[in-house]
Amino acid sequence: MLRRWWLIPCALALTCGDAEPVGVVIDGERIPVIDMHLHPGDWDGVPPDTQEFLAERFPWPFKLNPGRLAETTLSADGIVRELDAAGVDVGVLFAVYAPRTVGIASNSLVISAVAEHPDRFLGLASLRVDDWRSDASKELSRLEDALGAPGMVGVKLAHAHMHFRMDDPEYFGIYEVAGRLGKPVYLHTGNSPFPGIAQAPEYTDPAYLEPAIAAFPQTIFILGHLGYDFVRDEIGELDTCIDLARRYPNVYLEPSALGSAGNDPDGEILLTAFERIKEGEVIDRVIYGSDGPQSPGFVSDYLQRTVTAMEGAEYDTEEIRAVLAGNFIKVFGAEAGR
Amino acid sequence: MIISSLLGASLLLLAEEAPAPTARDASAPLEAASTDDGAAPASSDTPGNARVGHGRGPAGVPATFTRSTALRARIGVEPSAFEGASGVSSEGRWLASATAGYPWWGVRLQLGLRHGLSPLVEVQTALARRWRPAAGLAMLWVNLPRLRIGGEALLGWLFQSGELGRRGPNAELRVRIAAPLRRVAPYIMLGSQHTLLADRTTVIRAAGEERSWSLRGEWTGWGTVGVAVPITRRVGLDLGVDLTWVDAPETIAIPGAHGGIIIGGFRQDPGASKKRRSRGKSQSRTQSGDAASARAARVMPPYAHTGASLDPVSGGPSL
Amino acid sequence: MNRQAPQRRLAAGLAAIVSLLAGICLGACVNDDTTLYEVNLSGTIDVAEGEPSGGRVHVEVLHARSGAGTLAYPLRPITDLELDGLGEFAESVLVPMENGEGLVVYAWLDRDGDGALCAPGAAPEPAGIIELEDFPAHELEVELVLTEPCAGPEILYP
Repeated sequence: MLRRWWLIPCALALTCGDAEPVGVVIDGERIPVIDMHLHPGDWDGVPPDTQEFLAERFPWPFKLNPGRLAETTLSADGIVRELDAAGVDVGVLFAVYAPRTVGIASNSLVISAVAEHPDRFLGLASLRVDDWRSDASKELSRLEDALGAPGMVGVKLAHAHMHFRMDDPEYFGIYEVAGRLGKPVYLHTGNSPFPGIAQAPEYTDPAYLEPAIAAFPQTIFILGHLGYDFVRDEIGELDTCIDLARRYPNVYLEPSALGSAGNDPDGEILLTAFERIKEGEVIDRVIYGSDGPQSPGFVSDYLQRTVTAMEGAEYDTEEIRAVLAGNFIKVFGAEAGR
Repeated sequence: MIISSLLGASLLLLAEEAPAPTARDASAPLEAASTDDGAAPASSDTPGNARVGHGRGPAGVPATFTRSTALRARIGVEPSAFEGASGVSSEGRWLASATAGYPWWGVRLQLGLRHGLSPLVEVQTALARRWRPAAGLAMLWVNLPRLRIGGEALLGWLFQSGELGRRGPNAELRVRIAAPLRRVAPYIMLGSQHTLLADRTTVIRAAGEERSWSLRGEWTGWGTVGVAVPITRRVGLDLGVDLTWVDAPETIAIPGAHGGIIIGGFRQDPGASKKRRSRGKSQSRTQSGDAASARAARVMPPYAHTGASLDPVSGGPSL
Repeated sequence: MNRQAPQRRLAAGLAAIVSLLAGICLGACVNDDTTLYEVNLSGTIDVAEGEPSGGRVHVEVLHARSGAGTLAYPLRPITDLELDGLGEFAESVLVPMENGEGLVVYAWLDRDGDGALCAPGAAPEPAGIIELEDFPAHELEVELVLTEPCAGPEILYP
């Protein structure tokens, strides 16, 4: 009931008010959008190998000074501009503790950004798992504190980035905390192209999450990236994700990043994903996310690609609405919205 | 790189069909070298005057003009901006340029020698993170009234800092095509830049250390489309759009642009200033006509002349 | 004579520039400078007495610590090895000295031969880890007993 109370301001914000029109137009109807996967950042929080990896991918001459571009794009104001350009109402910022791979975007950074734009941002907290046997209770306590901050609505984990097994019961305390506090857990599934990633299946294959999913029915697990193989640019473990969503009511799916221009230039992969989701009758489990901002215009472009794929898979207006915002509100009971 | 070299070689062979490139800022009239005011052309051993080029005197006998005699003959001098566009200075002239833009800034000095050669030094930088000082030689292959084609070969060093730091010897070949018109000189510059990057691996074994080196390369393709605009004979502007494909084909590049200033002049002979001072005292008002005509010549547009052909070959203006 | 003097000055200037560039070259030539320390690992990898011992052994060699400040973390991978089975072994590895400190060996026994440690539905497979305190040294002895079922290196270290 407490969660449902928050639906009221969210629904009002999305349907009333004098804000500029947001969302996408489907069959003449404007549909609001919540993007549940966004990365704020600090270039100094990225390890040197990954800084070099990212800089190589920037166009010339931005690659000469990638930190400057990254700071602009990944700042709270920069992300709000991206949301505005895309017509996205609310964005969810991820904290990350992955010093081996993508770096650190701390809980405090996310909490500050949410506080800066409380009507536009929500946040997912995370925690360090490096010295787990000695630091577990301390880190779980910090996680609880972070989840108590305004706008912090869930937990973000990435086993491949953080290097801990998906099925290791020693880490299940994280799911216990999340379930107890009513905070859904977003999990990166599939591999990743970044340097230092753990590529073995026990870190990437969502099948290894089943013991945790089964053990914590009160915890919501959101399987991010649909198990996509970012190394070979293949569908990867999409069918495993759909199967888990069919069998477990506490499993949701998130289709970010796999449909980007770099991974899916002709849109076929995202279209296939949405077709299979429809065949699996789990549209009500899909929560939209982009994995932006990445670069200027990415958030808008990914939204358009997703809408195109859903239309190509013959989703009706209500199904599109559910994916773009409705399922998020159902799961998170959004606290914010214009 | 191979194609540009072959192109340059073939153009050089073609250019040798015509007389060697001359300084474009003066040439002898088809008639006798004496001018309206009776001033005789200086011979090649005339002291205190920088040579500016050749012309043809009576019966096709080559005659040499100096700067001063060319000016007294009221023969137009090509603006430095046009030499900046072609990348080659005519004999006896120097040129300095400085450009600023995004992302490239640079300075360049070149000096005109005989046979259409110009040694040069330049320093380029992009966002103060990538630096390339270099020295080289420019050569004019084609010297026609409306067309200049030249090539440049440079050797230098690359320093790049930041997340993609690298350093190593750098060589570049360029081709410039300039089309000096009446008031502006549009130009195209195409460059092929190669940098050698050396890596070192040291293996520490129980028996001792082993060191090995390996080389890799970075290729940068460069294209500039620009225009040189003379403001005065000595000063001009350079405006252009640059597309620099650094480390091609690994990444994409966004075009940049630059604006700059070109300044040029004649090399000073050691005795020239002394002679100018003595000339100024003795000749004074009796040379007022000469002074006036010299001033007029200095500001005249490139083609302005008094019945004299500037191009010894075609009979038309050499610009 | 007068014409030659400027040309001599020009030649001298160019020579000075070339010399300066050559001097800079000597101090600015190397891009990637990698130092590899050869380590000959030898010893035995075994399971607890009475435990099934069939199957290939997957070995990972890792830096004990890497990174700095808030980006410091344990267990940076160096290389993977695969042994035909438990028992004695001898392998040589090259350890990149710029990437971290210390040396750790982690291993697990692939009893079912599926290439995955404790795949879903599979029987438990043992793993173990040891830090080689004597590193850096060219000859290091490894005595490792695999006792932890289905454990990745991250939960076993430090």
